[in-house]
Amino acid sequence: MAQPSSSFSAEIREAWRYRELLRTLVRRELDVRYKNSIFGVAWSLANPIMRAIILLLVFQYVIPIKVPNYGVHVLATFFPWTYFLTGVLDAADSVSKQMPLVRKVYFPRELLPIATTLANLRHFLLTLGVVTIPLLVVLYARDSFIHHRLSLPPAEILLLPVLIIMQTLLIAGLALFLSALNVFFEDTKFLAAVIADLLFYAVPIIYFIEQVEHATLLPESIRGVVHTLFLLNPMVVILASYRRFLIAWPDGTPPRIPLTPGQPETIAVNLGVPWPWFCLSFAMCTAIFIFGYRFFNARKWRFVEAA
Amino acid sequence: MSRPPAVSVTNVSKQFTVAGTGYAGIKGALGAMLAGKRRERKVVHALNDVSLDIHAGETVALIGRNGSGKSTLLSMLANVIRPDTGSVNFPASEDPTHPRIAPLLEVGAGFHPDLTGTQNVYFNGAILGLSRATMESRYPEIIAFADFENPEYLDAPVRTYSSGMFVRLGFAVAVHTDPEIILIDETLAVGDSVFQEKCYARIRQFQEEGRTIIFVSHDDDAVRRVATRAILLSHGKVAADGAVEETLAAYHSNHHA
Repeated sequence: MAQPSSSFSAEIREAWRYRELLRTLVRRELDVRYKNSIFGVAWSLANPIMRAIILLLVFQYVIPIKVPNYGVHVLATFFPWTYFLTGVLDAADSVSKQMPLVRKVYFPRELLPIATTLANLRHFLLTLGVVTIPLLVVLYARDSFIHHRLSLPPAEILLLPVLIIMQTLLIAGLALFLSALNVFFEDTKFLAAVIADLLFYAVPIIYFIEQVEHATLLPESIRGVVHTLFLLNPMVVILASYRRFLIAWPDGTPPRIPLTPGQPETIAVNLGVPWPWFCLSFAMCTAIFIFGYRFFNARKWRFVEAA
Repeated sequence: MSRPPAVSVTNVSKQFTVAGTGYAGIKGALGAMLAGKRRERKVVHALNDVSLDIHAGETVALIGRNGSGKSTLLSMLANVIRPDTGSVNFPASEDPTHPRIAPLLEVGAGFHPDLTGTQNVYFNGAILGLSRATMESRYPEIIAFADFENPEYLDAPVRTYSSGMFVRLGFAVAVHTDPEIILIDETLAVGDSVFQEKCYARIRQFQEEGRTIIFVSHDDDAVRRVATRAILLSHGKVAADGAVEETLAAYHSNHHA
């Protein structure tokens, strides 16, 4: 029983005492998602697999873009985006949904949003392992075969764990913040879903970050500001980094696309995010996690009174 | 008495702020703010300087009218609500900072409709602080206690259960957690009469083992049957505390006055 004036470290120790419950909560989320069957796992992967096939077909045959494997570039960011979206939105009502339990039994309440985040992380890793990585293996094998030269992913792929940790900190921070807020304001999840839907267009999934930097249609005076604001969004940095870490440049040079359609001038794309921006983003994700954790803990004793 | 009490409530007060008119949600709150309206708030004194000791082995009934503060007190003992002032302690517990408390859950609380009875039993055990290994060793006893007519239901999702089956399973888990203190909120008499007798037998066993039981009830017969002491709360204060019949008499005279 943590005391009212409990410190940050005491809160963490108390949560650690309940780690077995955390494991059970994560397992329960996955049991529910997979409906207790191996077919359940297959079903939950059917959606990402179908999505991958459709995206690849569309960008191969319907919207041909002059970047080799453009569909794969989209896919590399799409599953991390889904992880973000479901991770944040699933967790938003993780406490509200369990109010009958919260009202009766003591346990560290932060375990609820954290368990949802970890369950989504597990599912994301599964998607990565079953859909994304095999797809890349096929792609690199095909390139090696066509060009009679071994084609390998970029060395940055070794930083993938860092990227996943950074994204998970961001998701957990937002999950803690939103799940606490949703107890007091029951439309929080709904509003978060609306905002997340809009955010889809503000992150580089269907375009490259370099296209924002060189957006000639924007007045030159504000282009720099827009680009800076754009890079201050951690999800922009995270998605651009997934793309850069997973997809190699053909022939060792970045692919190029026309600056404006039909014009000869081109820009290099999939350059990734400059390292200082990457580090700043990591710091921001950590700060968002700490903020979310403190926000949650400062309010968790009022949950029962609010509902 | 030289032994420390199982539960020690000292000068506990608690106020709730109840939102008056319903501006639920962020949109509502923003709308109200833009319209220049202030959210109406009403302060309710749920508990007002309550002090009491409960000793190990006692079975205490908390009685009183709706809104007298008995559920708030029970929630404080379960450590889901904290007092504004004063303190609640468990000096006789093995680990006073983490007493083993088993709250009997509301029907279906913590049960996920899509999971099987067995999965929900394990989850309930984990929520009440039992390790998976402990649950594995106690599982047969729990199932025997729940005593389903068709045991194959344990592998079916609990959304197919009747409410009686829910209650049996929930009660069965709670009484197998080896609790020091048992909290019961109006769910003492559940299920059919055979199962009810089983619950009462289990409570008697707990009493013989010297465990502490605290329950809230509106059922005089249940209070007479199991309680060794009754506490009457009225407007957030202790109005009577002592022998069951005397406290019940005080309650009813007060009630009809």
